[in-house]
Amino acid sequence: MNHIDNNPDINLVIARYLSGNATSEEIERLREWIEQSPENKKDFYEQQDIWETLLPAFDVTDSDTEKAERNVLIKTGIEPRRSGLVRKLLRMWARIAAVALLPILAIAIYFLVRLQDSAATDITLSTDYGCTSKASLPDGSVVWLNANSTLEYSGKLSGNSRDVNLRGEAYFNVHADSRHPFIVHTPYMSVTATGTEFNVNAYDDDASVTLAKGKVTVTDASDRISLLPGEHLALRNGHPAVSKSSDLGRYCGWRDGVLIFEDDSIHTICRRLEQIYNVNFVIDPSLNDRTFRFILKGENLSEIMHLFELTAPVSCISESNNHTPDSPQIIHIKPNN
Amino acid sequence: MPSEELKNDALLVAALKFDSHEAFVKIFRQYYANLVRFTARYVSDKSTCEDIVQEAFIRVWTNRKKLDTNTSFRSYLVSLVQNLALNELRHRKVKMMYDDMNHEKILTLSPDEHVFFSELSDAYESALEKLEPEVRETLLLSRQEKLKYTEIASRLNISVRTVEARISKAVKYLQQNLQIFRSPILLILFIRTLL
Repeated sequence: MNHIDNNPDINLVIARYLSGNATSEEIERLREWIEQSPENKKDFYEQQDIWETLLPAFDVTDSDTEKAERNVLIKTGIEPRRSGLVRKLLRMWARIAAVALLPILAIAIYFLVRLQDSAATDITLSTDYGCTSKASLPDGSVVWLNANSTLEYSGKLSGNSRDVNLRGEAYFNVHADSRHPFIVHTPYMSVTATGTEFNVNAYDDDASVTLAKGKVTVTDASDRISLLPGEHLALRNGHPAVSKSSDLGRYCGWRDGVLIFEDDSIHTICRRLEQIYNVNFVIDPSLNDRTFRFILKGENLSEIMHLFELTAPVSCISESNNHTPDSPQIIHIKPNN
Repeated sequence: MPSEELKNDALLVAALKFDSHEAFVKIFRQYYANLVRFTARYVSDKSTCEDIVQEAFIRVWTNRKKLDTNTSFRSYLVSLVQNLALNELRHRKVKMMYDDMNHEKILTLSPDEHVFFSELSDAYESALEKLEPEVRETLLLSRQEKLKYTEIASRLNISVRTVEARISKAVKYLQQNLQIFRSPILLILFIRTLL
C-alpha cells in the first residue's frame, strides 16, 4: 500500500474528517488526495464504510424498519390505503367489539377449563411389536416407549404427583419439578423421580430399573430402594438386587434400536426378543448352558435369526403354517449336530 | 456473504419482476436499516435519511419491470440512494457535517464498492479482539460510551491527537483484515456464476 506509506498522516486526516473534527484545510487536502488515484479513493471509502458501523450517526431500530415498511407498502399501493374516516370507524368498532367480547370470553374460558378438567381422562400410548416410539408428555418430560409396551397417564399430568402406568419398557427423561414427583407404576414396582433419566423394564416379573442420571426411588411390595446413577436394579424371584452397571447401553440402547447381549444365556436373549417381537421360542434343552454375545442394530426378526445361525452352530426353524398376524410366530432353535 | 447474497438478490429481483410482494418485503427488510446508515454520510438528519431510503424503495417497485437481473442489485440500490441523497443536498438546505465545498465534492465522488458493515460483523468482532489494548479501549470509549475525542483524551490523560491516531489505527487494522470481503474480482466472479 504505497499510496498510504507515502502519505503517513493522511489516515489521521481521514479520522478527523469522519469524526467531524477536520479543519477546512484538511478537508481540502483530503479531497485532493482522494482524487489523486483510484486506490486512494477506494481506501477512503473503505474507511468510511467501516466508520459508519463502528460509530454510527444514529441507530436504526426494528420499530423504525417496521414503520417504514408499512409506509412504503402503502405508498407503492401494495397495501390498501384506508382513509382517515374508515380507519377511525374500524378502530372504534374494534374497541366496541373488545368490550362486548370480554364477558363472552370469560364464559368461554370458564367452560373450557371445566371441559378440560373433565377431559382429563386417560391417555394411552402404545407400541406394536417391533416398533419403538418417542413422545413428549404434557409436563415436559420425554418418554421413549419400547416395542409391545403401553403407557397410560391422566390427561394433564398436573396433580400433586405425576403418575404414569407402564406395561412393557420405557426410558424416561423427566422434566425437573421437585414438588411434583414423577411416578412410574408397573405391576411389579413403582419408580419415583423428580428430574432424572432412567429406564424401566416391566414386561414381566423379571422387571428392572436402570438409572442414567439423577436419583430415583424404587418401591415394591416390601422394599424401598434408592438408586445412584449407573445402578441397575433387577427383580429376581420377586426380590430386588442392585448392581453397578458399567454399560448403560446394555439396558438403554434399545432407544437407538441397539440390543446388546454379552455372555447372556440363550434364554435371556430369547426372552428379550420375545418382549420386543411377536415371537415364541422353543429352545432345545441341549443349548441351555450356552452363552452368546452379539449386538443387534435395527434388524428385523428374520435377519436376527439369520445372524444367529451365522454366528452360532444353531438352526432356527420357523413354524410358519399356523402363523396368523396376531398370534406369535413360533421358532425352534436347535443345535446343528 | 456476498456470493449468497448476490444469488439471493438475483432470485428476489426476478420474483420482483413478476410483481411478488413477498420479494419486495424481503428486499426491503434486508437493506433498509443498512441503507439508512449509509445515507448518514450525506445527511446528518435521521428522518431525512429515512425518507430518502423509503423513496428509493418506492422507485424500485415502480421500476421493477426494468430491473436488470444480470447486474448487482445492491450496487443499483446503493447508487439510487446516493443520487437521491445528493439531490437532497443540492436542492434543499439539509444539515451537513461540514458546510464546505470540498466536503460536498467528496460526497459527490461515488464509491467504487460499498459493503454494508453489518454484513461483516463477525469478522469485525474477531478483528476487534486482536487490536492493541489501548487502541481497543479508545475505540470502545468512542463507540459504546459515545464520548467526544476531547472527553476521551482527558479521561485517558492523552492528547486529542493521540485519540485520533488510535481511532485511525483501529479503522486501518479492520480495513486490512476485512479486505477479503471487498475484492471486486470476487464480486465479478459471483455475478458471472449467475449468468
